[in-house]
This record gives sequence, C-alpha cells and structure tokens, in this order.
Amino acid sequence: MRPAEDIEKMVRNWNESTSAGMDDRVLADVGRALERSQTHAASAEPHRRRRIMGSPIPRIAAAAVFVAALGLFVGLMVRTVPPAYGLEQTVQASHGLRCLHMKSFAAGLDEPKEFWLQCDESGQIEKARWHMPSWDAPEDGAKVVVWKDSKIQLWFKGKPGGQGVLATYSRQQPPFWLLDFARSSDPRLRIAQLKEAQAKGKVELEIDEPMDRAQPILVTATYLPQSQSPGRRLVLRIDPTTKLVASVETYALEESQYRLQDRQEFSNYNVPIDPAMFDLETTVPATVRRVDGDAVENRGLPQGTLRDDEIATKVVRQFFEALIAQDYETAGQLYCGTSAEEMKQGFFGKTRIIRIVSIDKPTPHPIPEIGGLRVPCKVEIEKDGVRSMWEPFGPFVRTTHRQDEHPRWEIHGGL
Amino acid sequence: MLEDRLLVLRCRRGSKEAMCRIYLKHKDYLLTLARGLLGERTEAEDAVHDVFVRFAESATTFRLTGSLKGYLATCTANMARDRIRARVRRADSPEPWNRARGDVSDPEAHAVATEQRTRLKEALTQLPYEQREAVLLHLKADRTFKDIAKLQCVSLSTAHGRYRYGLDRLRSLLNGEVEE
Repeated sequence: MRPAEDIEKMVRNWNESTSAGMDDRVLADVGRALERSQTHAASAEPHRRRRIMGSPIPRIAAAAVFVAALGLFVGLMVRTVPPAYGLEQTVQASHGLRCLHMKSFAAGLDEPKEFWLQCDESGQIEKARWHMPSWDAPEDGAKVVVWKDSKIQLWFKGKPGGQGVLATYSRQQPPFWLLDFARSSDPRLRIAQLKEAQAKGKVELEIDEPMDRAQPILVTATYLPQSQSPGRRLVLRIDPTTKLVASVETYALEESQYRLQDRQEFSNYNVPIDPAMFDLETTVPATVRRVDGDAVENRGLPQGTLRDDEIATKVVRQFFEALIAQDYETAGQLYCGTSAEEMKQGFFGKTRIIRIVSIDKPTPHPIPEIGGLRVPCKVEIEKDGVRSMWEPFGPFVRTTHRQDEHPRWEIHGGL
Repeated sequence: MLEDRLLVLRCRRGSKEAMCRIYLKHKDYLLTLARGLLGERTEAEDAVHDVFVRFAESATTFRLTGSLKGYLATCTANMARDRIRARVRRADSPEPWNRARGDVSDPEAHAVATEQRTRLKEALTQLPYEQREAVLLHLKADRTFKDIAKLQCVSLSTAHGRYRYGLDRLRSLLNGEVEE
C-alpha cells in the first residue's frame, strides 16, 4: 500500500511547464491589459464626477461651497497683494547649480533612494552616486552605483551577512538608465518640462504663495487628459527664500482620489560633496569581492561573421551541451559569467540536463526595451530521479555589456 | 512575500517588467493547478491566461492583503469553476477527464510519458470536483483548509473531509493500478 504521504508527495512534485507560445500570448495580452488599466484609472475621475453631480443634492452643496470660496477669495484679494512668484524665478535660481542631493521616498516604503549629482561648469554630469534600496530591484538587492572618470562602479551589497560584489565597467557616458533617473530627478528639468507642457495646454498649473512668507510656495501641476500622463499630479514645494525646489510629490488618480506615489526631497544645493562619496574602491570593505566588468573576454561567444539569430542559437546549444557534459565552468561563462560554483549551487546543480530535444528559430525578446533574442528550445531534464521535458521561458540571449567592434553574446535570463 | 508586494506595487505604476516577473514566478504552478482542475492542457492554459489578464486589468486598484501566490491560486480555482459550469451549460462537451485516458491529442503526455505522472493525472480524473479542488489547492497552492472552506462555502471540517476522502481515493486508485 502506498502511504498517504507518498500520494501527497506525488501531487506536490507534479509540475507542468508553460510553453513558449503560451508565454508569448499571455505576456502580450497582459501588457495590453496593463496599459488599459493605467488609462482607465486616469479617466475614471470625470465619469465619477458626472455621476455624482447628476444628483441635485451634491449640485446644491457644490454651489454653496463655490459661493463661500468666492467670498473668501474676494476677501483675500482685497487684503493681500497678488502672488509674486513665477516659475521663471526658480529657473533663474537654478542657473549655475553644480551640486545636488536628492532623496526619493516611495509610498509605503521607509528606505529612500538617494542620489548625489555633481556637474561641471557647462551643466554636464561630472560625477554621480546612487543608493538603490532592495525594493527598487529585488532581483539585484540593495546597491550603490557611482559614475565618474568614464567608469561606472556597481556595489551589489547582497544578502545580509553575504560577501557582496563590486563590479567596475568602463563607460564613456553614464548608462542610459542612470541618465534617465538623473533627468527625471533634476528639479531644473522638471520646471522646464512643466512650463513647456503648460504652454502646450497639457498641464494645468496652480501656484499657491502663502501669506506667511516663511512657508513654502506650492506649485500644483495637474496633467490633463490630452497629456501623456493623464491622472498624474505633481506638487512642488518651492523654498520662498532661494526659490529652489525643495520637494516634489507625485500623485496618481486612483478611485477618484489622488494618491501619493512618491516624494522627492532636494537639499544641499551647491554644497560641495565629499570626494569619498564618489570613491567606492577605497570606501567599500575589503571583504567585498571585486569584479572587473571589462574582463569579459571569456564571457559568451564572439559573434564573428554570424547573424544575430545564428550566434544566439549557437550560444544556447553550447550552453546546454556544456551542462550535459556537466562542464559548469563553460556553461557559466555563457550565462552572464556565472562561476562554476554558483552554477552548481543553483538550479542546474540540482537538475541534470539529459539531452537537447529541439532548438527553434530565435524570436525578439517579448519586452522590446530589453532587446536581444529569445531562443525557444526543449530539453529533457532529470530532477529528483524523475525525467521530464522542460521548455524554458527563454533563454534570452544578447550581447555582453561591453559594446565594441567585436561583440560577444551570452544568455542573460529566461532559465 | 516582500518581493511580491514590491512587484505588485510596481505593477500598480504600470511596470510591465514587474508584471512579467510575477507571471514568470507563478505561471508553472498555476498551470499545474489549472490542469489538475480542468484536465485539458489548452483549457488550463486559457484559464491561466485569463487569470493574468484580469489581474493586469485590475493592477492599478489591486491591494494585496495576503500572499500573492494564494490570491492567484484562488483566482485560478474560481476561473476553473466558471469553466466547469460553462461546460455543463453547453452540455455538448464531454467531461474531458474521460478523454484524458490515453489522450493521443496530448503530444506532451506521450512524449514525456512519465508513468507516475500519467497515472496521477488519470487518478485525479476519477475524483469528484470538490475533492480534486481541495487536494490540489492544499498540496499545489499551499492553501489552508480554512481558505479552502471559504472558497467552497463549506465548513472547515467538510473541507478537511473532502481533502482526506480525495487523498484516500487517490491512494486506492493508484494502488489498484499497481495491483493490476
């Protein structure tokens, strides 16, 4: 007789895998659904307002509030001088800024992202440092990134108690994702973009300059339905003395209410930044493993004269052939330069690759922004003594980070 | 758990990459669950597809109160129930579990043909739906009997009973095959 535990184990161990075709279909439809969801959330407000205002009681209440507000406004107008603040003052005050410190708080999360920026006289980024908490990219964990002197250093702190890794890459320019982050965080650009959007009728700006001159000036920017971000609202707090941006809060319209998404705080304008902040080599503990990101000569395979689809297929075939031969060193070099030890400790140490059943024609990565190719394949595996077929979601293959005249290709995910 | 919360948060802001990660993380066990409940591979794939599309459609307003795995498993179970009901309403579709024996239209089952897996699938076909659901939700989706009772609108002891009866029936079916 089979004991009940055996049956339970058998059910627990039964696993189906999705096919590449299914993954394609689901991801494409899910992407569209997500876009619809975003659009719907943004457009929900006017419908609800129409429904609410369809009833006479809210209409009367709204009229009463309007009359009261009008009276209050007229009273204030009589007693105060007109607001003197204009966005131009912030633009003017921001000229010549060279140093900046920013903290970005996401709603519901305590630890902020932090960003230090140092520009040269022409306003180009000279040095930058980012602190990324683990919530920003759980797959990476917490990390610190520094860009200076045409080099980028990434300190992956790893798990608590873990060793961590400091990787250094040569980069003439900061990577695009860092530039994007810098641009989206730069208060000077924010103001310029708002002015432009207002001129195009895409944003409605409201400036509230309090009677108490010690209080910050509030600039509320509401993105209109014709803008690219309908349902979005920014609230900028402007320092009444320096006219510089002190904070920016981003709200999104959800269920007819504006909910806080994140808050950026700016400080230490033009306060010189300690040079040690941009020197990870000497400030990161000696126990952290150093990795030369440029030393990728042995990573991946050289493309040579092969087409992209040919080299991608070759990489995948050699990867699985290496695993069949239990050559984890070679397999790891084709899989992001992973060490043989890490390969053995991971999925492929516990799962034996028996044979390659098929490798199909590569297709573009389902997320165009990521780039590279997916190489659909089917392999026979053995895990816990049970053989089965495995069709990984990927593998995804693309060129290594080093982009030069001799590109190399490697697997970067999807396994 | 924390990773799921962060991914959900990013989905609410429209991150396709986060949604992709959620799909990659949960797709296989949800497909197994749906396959166990519905029998046919294509129908199970459709059910999982619909679960993720609906999840994405509600991403901007979704609030995660428990585990994401549990939530998606419950959605899959509900989706499977809807499909079973639709089958009954159509009445032109024979119970696919009856076709599952020696199903030549399922090339994967033939290709893989792990004897144990095939026998298990066939044995699952013999269980009443509620027992099948209780067994799969508990063993594949880690749902507690309290959760299963809530989903099936029955008492805790009934949910537990369905699981035990389902397991006993599976055991006798699998032993029976061995003895044959």
